[in-house]
Amino acid sequence: MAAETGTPTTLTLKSNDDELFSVAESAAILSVTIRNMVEDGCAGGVIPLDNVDGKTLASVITYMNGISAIPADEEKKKSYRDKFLSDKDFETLADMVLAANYLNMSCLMDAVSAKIAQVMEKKSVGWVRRKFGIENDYTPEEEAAVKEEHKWTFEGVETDDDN
Amino acid sequence: MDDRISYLPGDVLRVILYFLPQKEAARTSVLSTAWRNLWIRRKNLEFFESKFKRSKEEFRHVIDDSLRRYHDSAMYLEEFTLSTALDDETLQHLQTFWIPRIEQLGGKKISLIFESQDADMNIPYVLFEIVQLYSLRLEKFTDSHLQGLNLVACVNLRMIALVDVDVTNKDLENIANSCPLLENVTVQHCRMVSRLNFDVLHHLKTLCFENYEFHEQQSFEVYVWNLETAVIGSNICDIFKMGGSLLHMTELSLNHVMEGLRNLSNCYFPCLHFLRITNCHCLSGVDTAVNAPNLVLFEYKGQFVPKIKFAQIINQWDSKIQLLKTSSSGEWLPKLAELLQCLEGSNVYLIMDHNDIRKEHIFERTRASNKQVIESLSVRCDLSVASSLFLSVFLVCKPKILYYIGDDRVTSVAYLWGILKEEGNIKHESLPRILEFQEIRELLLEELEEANFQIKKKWNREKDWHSCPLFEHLMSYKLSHFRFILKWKET
Repeated sequence: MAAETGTPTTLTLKSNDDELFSVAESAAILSVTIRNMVEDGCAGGVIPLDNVDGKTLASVITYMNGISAIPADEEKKKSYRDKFLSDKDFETLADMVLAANYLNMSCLMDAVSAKIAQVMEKKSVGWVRRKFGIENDYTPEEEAAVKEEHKWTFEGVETDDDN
Repeated sequence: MDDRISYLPGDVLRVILYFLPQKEAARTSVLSTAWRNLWIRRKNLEFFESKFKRSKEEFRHVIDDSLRRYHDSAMYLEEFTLSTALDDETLQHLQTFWIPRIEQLGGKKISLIFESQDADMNIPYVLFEIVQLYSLRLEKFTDSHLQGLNLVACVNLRMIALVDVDVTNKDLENIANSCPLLENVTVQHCRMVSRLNFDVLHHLKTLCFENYEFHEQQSFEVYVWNLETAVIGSNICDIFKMGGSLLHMTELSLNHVMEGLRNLSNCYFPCLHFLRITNCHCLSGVDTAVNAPNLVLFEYKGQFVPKIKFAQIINQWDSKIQLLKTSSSGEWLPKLAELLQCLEGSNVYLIMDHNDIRKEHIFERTRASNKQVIESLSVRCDLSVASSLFLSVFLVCKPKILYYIGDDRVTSVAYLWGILKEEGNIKHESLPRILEFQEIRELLLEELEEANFQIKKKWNREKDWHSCPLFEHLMSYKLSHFRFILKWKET
């Protein structure tokens, strides 16, 4: 074990498209899924992560290394997360939130989810549908009924309509 | 474009919805049939009356309806937040319908933020019977028909804020003894409170106790060792009497403390970032030493110049020193020189607010052996005393930037222009006879290399300061702020 020998243990992670990645155990165990495997002694060889592709895994590992290098300072961690996510488009965010969910990494999961919520916030229903490709499958009557039921949610909210 | 978001797993969607405000989360039901009932998967409900545009009755109806949906779909609700102006009907409703239902849905974090709707509303003591109460803020409950707190059942309470509420000493004692997990306590402007004993609250991280206006002799005891933030406005403050290391404290504000800071110097604050001292008369004439190696900002405001020293500080730090009418007290200039010496290594922003002082000779001839370069000097005083004041302050420090507010903007600018820029006498008929004018010119001639006049529009940002010819400024002076950038000769 790392603590006994004094050298950091490195784990090898394998994505579902067979890319291999090395990562320090201390950073990788941010993922509860990986931590459980390490604790159960299943991390000897290569750890296969069947639900994460190479591109996403590379990004997650960048995050693991970055965030674990910051000492216990919530503000600095938060600003690292904000910066890390600042240039990611929705496709990437969706991949990452799925990976975070599978890897059971709550801090990444929360940060990405908050980022997606931020995109939706203060936007009109039409804008959100277009942005995320959501097909409106209500009949006009149904839609009117749902709107009526939730009419308080359409009041006093300034929405950005078409940008 | 593929619709990916609708097909994210439910666990992921509920987290995304968690981060949306209530109104926006509920509005997603209109997106498509898949989203119809999705929002009730979020584990939190929050209702802020201030964001609600309809009647109180409809507001209550929306809460009823939301809770019913959670109930009908057997959803799990963890957090419930309600902020409203409380009236008897809402309180009744909360007690009879909402709380039982929330508890039934699994609610563990109930946060209530209430302001009284009517002036004659009593403190809603029944709230203290909610076992799952997590956070409570009460404001403006000042009915005099006190019944007192009999039962406090909220063992899970982490945060309580009482602002302008007629709780008694006994009530607070009851709360402290019944809520061992309290981490965050605010007691502000509560006129009945003269004693606070929170020694039993070992988890206390944030304390805000500001009550100095009501009782001269108030005592308070807190368990300080886990405190991270303390805002104390109490005439007596004994909490540092033990000395020792306050390992977790990052922010400390002391306001109107008249007694009890003697042992501040025996404390060690390894994590303190921010220290603010406002009008603490007990520090007058007392040597104070602050041992806070990680200090980032020191703010001082008061009518006397404090004697305060700082142990080695590791990083760049700022200090903002605001002196109010200090010059009416004697020997202020040597004390200021000494303070600036103690603040060496810090970026000093000095503010001298001497509005309304009309004494002619406020300056004292102290020449500091080593004048400190400071970031900025902001002065507010009558033109009749400006020269005295500037002469004094320039004897002990060299500001890089100078701000001045005098009688009015035109004469202020003309005056400064006269002493800083133009040689010889200034000619402006509205200027009164200025004492020591020649003396200050001589001092500045000797030491000042250059003064650069800058303006910015009032509503613009800091980065918009720019140089400007005087006449242009005088055309539109009402809309802008001005300052001088000073460059001092190397000595």
